[in-house]
Amino acid sequence: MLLRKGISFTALSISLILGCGNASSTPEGRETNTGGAATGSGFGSGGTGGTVTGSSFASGGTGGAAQAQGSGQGSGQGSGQGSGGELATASTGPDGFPAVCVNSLPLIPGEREPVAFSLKLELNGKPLIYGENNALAGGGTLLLSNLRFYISEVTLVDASSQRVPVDLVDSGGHREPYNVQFVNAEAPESLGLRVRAPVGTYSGVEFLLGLTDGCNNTFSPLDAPLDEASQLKWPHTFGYLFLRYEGMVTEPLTIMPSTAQKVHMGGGVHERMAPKISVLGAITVAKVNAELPLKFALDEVLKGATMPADLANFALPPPAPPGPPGAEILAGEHLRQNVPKLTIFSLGGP
Amino acid sequence: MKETPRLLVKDRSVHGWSWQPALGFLVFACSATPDAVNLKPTPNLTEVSSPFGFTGSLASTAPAENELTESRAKLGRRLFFETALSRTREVSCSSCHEQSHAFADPRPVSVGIEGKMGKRNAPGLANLAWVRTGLFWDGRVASLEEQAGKPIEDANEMDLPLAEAVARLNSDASYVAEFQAAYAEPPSELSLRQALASFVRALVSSNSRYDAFLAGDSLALNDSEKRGSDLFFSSRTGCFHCHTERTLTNDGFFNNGSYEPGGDIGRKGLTGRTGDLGKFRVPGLRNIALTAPYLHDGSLPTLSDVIDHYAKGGRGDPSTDVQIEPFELNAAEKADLLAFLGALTDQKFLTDPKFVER
Repeated sequence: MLLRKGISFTALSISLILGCGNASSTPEGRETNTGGAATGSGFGSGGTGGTVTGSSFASGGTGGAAQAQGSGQGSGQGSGQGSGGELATASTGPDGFPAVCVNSLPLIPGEREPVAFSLKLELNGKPLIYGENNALAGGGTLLLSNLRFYISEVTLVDASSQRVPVDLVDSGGHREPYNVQFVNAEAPESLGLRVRAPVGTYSGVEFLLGLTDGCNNTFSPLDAPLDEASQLKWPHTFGYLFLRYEGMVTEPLTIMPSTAQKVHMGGGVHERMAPKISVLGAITVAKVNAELPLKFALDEVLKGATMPADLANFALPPPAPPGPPGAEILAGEHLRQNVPKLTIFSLGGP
Repeated sequence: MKETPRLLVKDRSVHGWSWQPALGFLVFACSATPDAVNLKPTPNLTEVSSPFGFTGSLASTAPAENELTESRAKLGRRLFFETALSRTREVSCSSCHEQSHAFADPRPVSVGIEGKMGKRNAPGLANLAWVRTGLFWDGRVASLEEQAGKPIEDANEMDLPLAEAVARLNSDASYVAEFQAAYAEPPSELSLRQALASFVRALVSSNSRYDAFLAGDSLALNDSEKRGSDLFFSSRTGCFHCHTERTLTNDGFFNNGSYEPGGDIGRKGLTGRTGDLGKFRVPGLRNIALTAPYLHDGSLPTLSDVIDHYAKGGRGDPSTDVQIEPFELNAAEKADLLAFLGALTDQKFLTDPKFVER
């Protein structure tokens, strides 16, 4: 057991956590979980079986604190945080998703066909090129030097607004580790989602822009893409960044605020959840492999990073070192709170 | 000077590393005698635990086509010290990767055969098994196996075609026997690279006091080192943006403010991208106190200089990453930060007899 800055957690513990809620560590270093955190319905399917790795944040927790915010309305993307307010189950966290982070998930049984969402990075409606200068609307350029984020818990929405669990899979048809897609603008092969779903017509796709609380609630090292090489692991505490952006604006920052340079959107274990994204648009899953463009608007991210937000109680979870969080982290919290008002993702287009 | 791949050569800085030119003197009279002939038991190279926080076992980092075995790692160790792998038989991998310097080169740039100079600093070799984003300072090769042959052929390093290197090995019965044992074939270009990669893969450093601290020994660091750790992982200095808590590298490529107009363009030379100007690999920092000089070009002689470099926000070129921002430290804080960096030293790694030429 590692004692550091007043917080105890196990080192490299590997345990099968059945049932969850608030975690604690036994003297032997084995994770146990007590109590059930309140939870909402979420929209994920969860997972069963597989290997669970990690340790959990041993705090009082804030089960049931998540609130539904926003909804998937309009032509593009609606979003919200967490889910809400329903009774807990033994296996779900406060966000309504599996309270444990499972690496190896089995494929959902039944006949399914693949559909791919090709992620198109955009800035003000034009293609956003990684590593090159991109024109800004007000003049000047933005050079994208780093853009990474997680997408998880993908579901499709059918004609009756029911959420249909899908498999998030790799090019070989295997489920992505932890049910997570790691997007890295520098790696073209990462720019997309590939799912397996029942044949049919759907009205949209939903997912988390980030990780479930169950996956965010880890200290022990996890495998890729939840390792330090993702550049999204908080370096000194539990959890992860959900989105990391860095870029260089080549015009004076009077054109764009300093947050145009870097935004690190993270979460807080048991309290600040990954934003939920709901993207409306016709999606057909058929025998013929389909590929649909899914646009990502960086300008919406930058806008959200400057919109009003409540930072009164914002703090990194312990055992973060002393000192205030950086401006990029605060910008990220502005973004996280404002995602419901933004249209970061949309379907369609070339 | 044209940029060329180098073998297991160091190249290191507090931001970005790769391997580089290195090669130099320290000509080791290569013992052509395998362990089996020496009849001296040697510690196993491959039976080691992963450093705390590194994902996956050491064995799991090896590609399926080059499974990590003791015989392969030991063969690689012999090759690592083999001067016959250079055209003039002057230098070996170890010429530029000295164990006492955590397998880095204490010279700013390394020196190959006939005194030829490289252009980048040869980095330390600890824990490269877990690197996934490419080796050399600019990440231009994907694997240890691919990397291992580059310095042998590089004109500024060992300058020996791999075919000739293989011919030399095949003329030595003891090598033929060792390759047969390890790879069930006589020496080939592939197995030569694979064996070298196996040894480098086995260079695991996990016994610093910081490692003990991570693993739960709260007394492993003294108060000054703990204060330094807090500074290192604070938003104030921002070191953690690239040097993560456990692996001490985010495995990425960043412009750390060392680029100056006309200088080494780094990763841009590989990708051609505007934004990759002056980007170099982020090195892991275990044993950083022993791997001076620093940065990809060895231009900063001491860790104190490195801290000063970052404190002033780099050298001022606009290509500098936005995360490199000036900060202020008083003398005591700087001493604490240096103390923390010193706690990353793994004394066992520096003297472990299993890494020594045999």
